[in-house]
Amino acid sequence: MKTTVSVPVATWLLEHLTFGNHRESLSGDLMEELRSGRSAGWYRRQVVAAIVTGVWTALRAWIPALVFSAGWSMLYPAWRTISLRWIPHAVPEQWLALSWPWTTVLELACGIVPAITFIWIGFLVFLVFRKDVIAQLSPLRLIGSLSASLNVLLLATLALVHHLKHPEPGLLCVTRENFYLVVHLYNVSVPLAMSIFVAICRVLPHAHKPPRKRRLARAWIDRLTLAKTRAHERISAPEELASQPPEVAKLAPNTFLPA
Amino acid sequence: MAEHNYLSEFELMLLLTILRLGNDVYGVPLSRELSILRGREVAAGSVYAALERLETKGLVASTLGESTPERGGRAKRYFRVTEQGLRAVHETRRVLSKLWKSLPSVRGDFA
Repeated sequence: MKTTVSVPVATWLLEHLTFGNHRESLSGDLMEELRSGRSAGWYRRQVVAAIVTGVWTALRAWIPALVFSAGWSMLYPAWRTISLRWIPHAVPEQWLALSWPWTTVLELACGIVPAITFIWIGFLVFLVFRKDVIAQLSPLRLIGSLSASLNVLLLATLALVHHLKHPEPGLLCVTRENFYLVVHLYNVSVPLAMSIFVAICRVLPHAHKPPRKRRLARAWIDRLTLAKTRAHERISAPEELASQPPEVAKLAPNTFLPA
Repeated sequence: MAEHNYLSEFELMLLLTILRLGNDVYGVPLSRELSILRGREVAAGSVYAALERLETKGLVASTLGESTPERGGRAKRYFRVTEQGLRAVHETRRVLSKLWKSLPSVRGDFA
């Protein structure tokens, strides 16, 4: 076995800046190649290529979602006009007769509900055209996506209220017809587009990542397996042990050392 | 209508290399074999990106293998071509053969 060149920064970058379910295996493959005689330069080039490929793959998966979100948000003025006609009929008369603070809550709801329904309809329209996404969609992930879109909308709403610097009570400015169109890029409503985009990104297959608990469990299993393998090696070939790289030796517990 | 899985050039090469090396092959021999066959270096990141794409399409399946010290404790991932993958390879071969045969004037030049 040839001498291993230490490449901790490149390894860290590889494990934190690449996407997908196979990054651990990719990292292991590159480490194996490095230890079989490849140069540190080769390793670093492979890491850069893996990061660039990963970013490009992720972008390629997100571009349709981004375009759809921007396009859909442009329809908001039309939706707002339709919903303004519909909402007064949908609110029961006894609710209108309620006193404060329910009147304020109702006004806020009338301002936000059209935006939420608009985002969720957009999200569902996107799903209709992506059968591959629907096939892998679990109810939990769907709820998570809808919830994420709500969170983004809430943050955008607070940011917009702050941006407008409306005199108290500031929150009531959400009832303004053009509230979500205040921050825009040409005709694209940035807050609404962001909200739809986040919801879609949460359900895209490329966004899947193994749960943290499973990753931690995997890491511990790997460490134990490694320690076991090392223990066998120490027993069978103790002289070869001295030539092992320090990071491998660090992972193996001293308790496995033969007496 | 039957659903088609269109393969890119690199995806087809990957599937053929997995079949050539025998099922349950992991990244290192796969990258080395591809580099030899293509005559130039293949980035391991590109191999894994394509494998992940093929796995999403259901054309390859993978299983996690053992961790070894020379891999820094990281597990190997073994890949194999699925039935669907095999069908996709045959379908691509059929279409490509048909296309080559439809070019009588240049067929000899490329042989």
